[in-house]
Amino acid sequence: MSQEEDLEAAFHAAHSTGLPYLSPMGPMILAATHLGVARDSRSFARIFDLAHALVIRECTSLEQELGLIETERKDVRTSRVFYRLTDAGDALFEAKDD
Amino acid sequence: MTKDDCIKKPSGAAGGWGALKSVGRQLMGTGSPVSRAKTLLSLNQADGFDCPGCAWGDPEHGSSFEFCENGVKAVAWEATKARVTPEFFAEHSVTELQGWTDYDLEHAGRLTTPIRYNPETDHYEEVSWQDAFDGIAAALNALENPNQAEFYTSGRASNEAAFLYQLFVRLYGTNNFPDCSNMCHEASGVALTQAIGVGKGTVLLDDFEKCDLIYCVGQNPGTNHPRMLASLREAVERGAKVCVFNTLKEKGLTKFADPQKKLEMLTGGAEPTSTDYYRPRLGGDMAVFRGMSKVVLEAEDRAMTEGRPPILDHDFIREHTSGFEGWCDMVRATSWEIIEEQSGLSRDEITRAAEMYLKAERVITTWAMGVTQHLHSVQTIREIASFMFLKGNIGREGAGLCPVRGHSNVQGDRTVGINEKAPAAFLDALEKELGVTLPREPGHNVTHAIGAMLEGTVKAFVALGGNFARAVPDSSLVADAFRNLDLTVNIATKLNHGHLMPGKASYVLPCLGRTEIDRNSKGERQMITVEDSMSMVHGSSGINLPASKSLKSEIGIIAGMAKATLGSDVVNWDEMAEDYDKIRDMIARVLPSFGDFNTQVRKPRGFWLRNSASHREWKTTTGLANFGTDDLRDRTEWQEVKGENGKFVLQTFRSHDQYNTTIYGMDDRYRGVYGIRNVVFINPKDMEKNGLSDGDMVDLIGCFDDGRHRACKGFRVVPYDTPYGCLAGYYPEMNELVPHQTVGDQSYTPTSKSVIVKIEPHQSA
Repeated sequence: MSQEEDLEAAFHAAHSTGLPYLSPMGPMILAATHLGVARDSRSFARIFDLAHALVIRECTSLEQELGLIETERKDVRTSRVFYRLTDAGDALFEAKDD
Repeated sequence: MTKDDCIKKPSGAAGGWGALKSVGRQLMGTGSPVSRAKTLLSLNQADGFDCPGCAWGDPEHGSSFEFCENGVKAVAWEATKARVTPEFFAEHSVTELQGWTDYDLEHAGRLTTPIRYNPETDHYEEVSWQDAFDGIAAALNALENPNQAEFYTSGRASNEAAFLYQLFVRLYGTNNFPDCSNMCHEASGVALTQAIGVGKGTVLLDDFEKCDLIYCVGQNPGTNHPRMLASLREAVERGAKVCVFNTLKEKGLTKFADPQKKLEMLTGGAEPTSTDYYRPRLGGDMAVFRGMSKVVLEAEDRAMTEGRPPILDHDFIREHTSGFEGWCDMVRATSWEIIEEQSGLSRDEITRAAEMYLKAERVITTWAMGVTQHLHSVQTIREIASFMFLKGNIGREGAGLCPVRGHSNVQGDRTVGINEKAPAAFLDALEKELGVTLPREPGHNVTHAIGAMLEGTVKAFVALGGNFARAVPDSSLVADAFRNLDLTVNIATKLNHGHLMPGKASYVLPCLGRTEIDRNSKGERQMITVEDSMSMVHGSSGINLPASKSLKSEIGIIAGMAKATLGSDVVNWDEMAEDYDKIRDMIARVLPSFGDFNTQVRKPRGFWLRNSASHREWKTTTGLANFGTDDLRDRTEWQEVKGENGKFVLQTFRSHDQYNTTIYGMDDRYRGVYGIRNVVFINPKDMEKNGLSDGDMVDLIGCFDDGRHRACKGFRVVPYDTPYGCLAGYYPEMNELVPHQTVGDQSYTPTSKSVIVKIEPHQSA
């Protein structure tokens, strides 16, 4: 599959769980993290041309409300958040990958 | 920025980032419905939070805070993991905490539960919300007269919180509304109301893209409103002139590396933010503008004599202004000698600055505390306005007056009624809305509140945010007065010294921060609004989980206090706190300029509150724009101390790691100061003349003659490029030197930019 197809599949895997994401950006962040497309908020915002503030908000919800990602480190000056999937986050993609 | 930033370009990408972006955006925009999902379009609009930092306008609301260093600091400051719990207060007595620095108190972390002071143990102790509300209500209702209570407002409070607060206070029975605006831009409000009929600026952010000259007077945007630098830089890039008048050479006003320009960030590049930079003396801005007006009038005379087209906009002056001839006579009669003496600039320098005005078609003048915190600030702003009237630089595209406000909603708070002498029309509308009679007698501003506290006529002090006791002049004197009060209430996110001056009954009530998610009892997210310096009203809703489950919103706390104090016969406080749309509906009924508030604020970028002066409608006493009527002062503070060895004029200002009284860090890197705040900046020639060396420790002694000894002891001398005879240092530390009796004429703003002091060798005892 092409990378675009991989991204679409991963997005649907995360999206179809029925989790109370803040917005459709949530499953896309998870999909991009899973595929290694972007594992920090600023890169994700840049690739998809989104406001960084909104990505940070989504990451906050994914981490603090849903427990699907965890912060590895944070750039104090830019608020850029570097994160990884938690076990719960990884689990969203396990069935698909199998 | 590091290279290992996890942007790992995958192998075999057919379409590169562009294709991935396209697919990703389509998926996010058209994916099947998910819980609480919003469209991508709406995500990019008004659903972010407004930066809790400065009040500069936002070109793409909700998306630019991360590019501003101070915005990031403000957000990180709220998002700290540190917590101040009841156990913290059990461990540390109030007396012990009084010995902590402002910085250490702030960095103890977020307050988590309501607390009440126990005078027997000298500790704060946890209290339930209801007990706190009942205790506060009992103390307020026990006062002989509602005017014995002061209700302070910080500029952080949202429109909704501020409106509800003033409802509570006016229904309680007083107009005592000291607020942070009294300490900063009050002079702008007073002067602009006299000159143009509205106490606000007249420009929109878009005007900065269309002007060909900006005068930037007495402000330091690099530290205080960094997003303004982008506007200045863009103006310079497209060929406009940016002419700065600032006592100090501030780094942000010379060059700026825009964080949004990635290449520039990587290469360390920077572009100019100004084209011309002049360094007037403290208190010299009025003389600068008087001098420039003189140059313009002389140029007009020459044009007329030589038969060239006029320079002045005579149509504007004739149709829209009053007092032109009298003001012209005054300008012409002012000698260059006094202009040069007060301004500290030469006639040639002032002429060069004015020649830009002669050539420019569209001019904006901006200013901040460097202009507003002097005895003659109202007169200075009137002079600026008069200068701008000469060529009709107001009420048209790319031109106008722009006082740059400090805290994020200080302008909005005034709009929605935080005003000790609110306009009669506002009170009429409020009475009609509520069906009751409200107090009409003007209440206390900050200066009046301090006076009443020192006289002992105040018994209660309620603070909606802020750090009043540290922000005000004569701070230690005011601190003593606080300890004699019957009641103090502080609504806050973090601990500060204002909380450590308990009266007989004292409460600290922890509230949500601007960045935190605010939900009502049904779990629905609530949105608040703010108004920026350009009169744009934005929605704002938080992104982070609250620091503690026990926190309430400012609105929830106000509603709780109000219900316990007044009952719910006139206002259903619970209903207001449950649905902020209802507060906005009431605001719109009382203030028709908000129109359909709830609909408008949900539009992208919010909406603009109509400003009559922007349409050349003058709600002044004459029905016209009024030229100034004041001559220059006989003597400025600088002139008073000139020639007196060891005496100086001091200005207090912020460090780069500071926002108002909040100390984020101990550095001031633009000025080369690290890890220390007890410093005094001084001209090297003044050092030599007074036998001082770099690093010497000195005491600063206040010279105001009221029998009180004012001193700041143990400050390190830092040689700095400041005008001869002019010192600078940080507040709140140096507020101790600012006499509460010296205030701006008509504005009552503390004269924190013109304090006469002397320097003595440090006496350690």
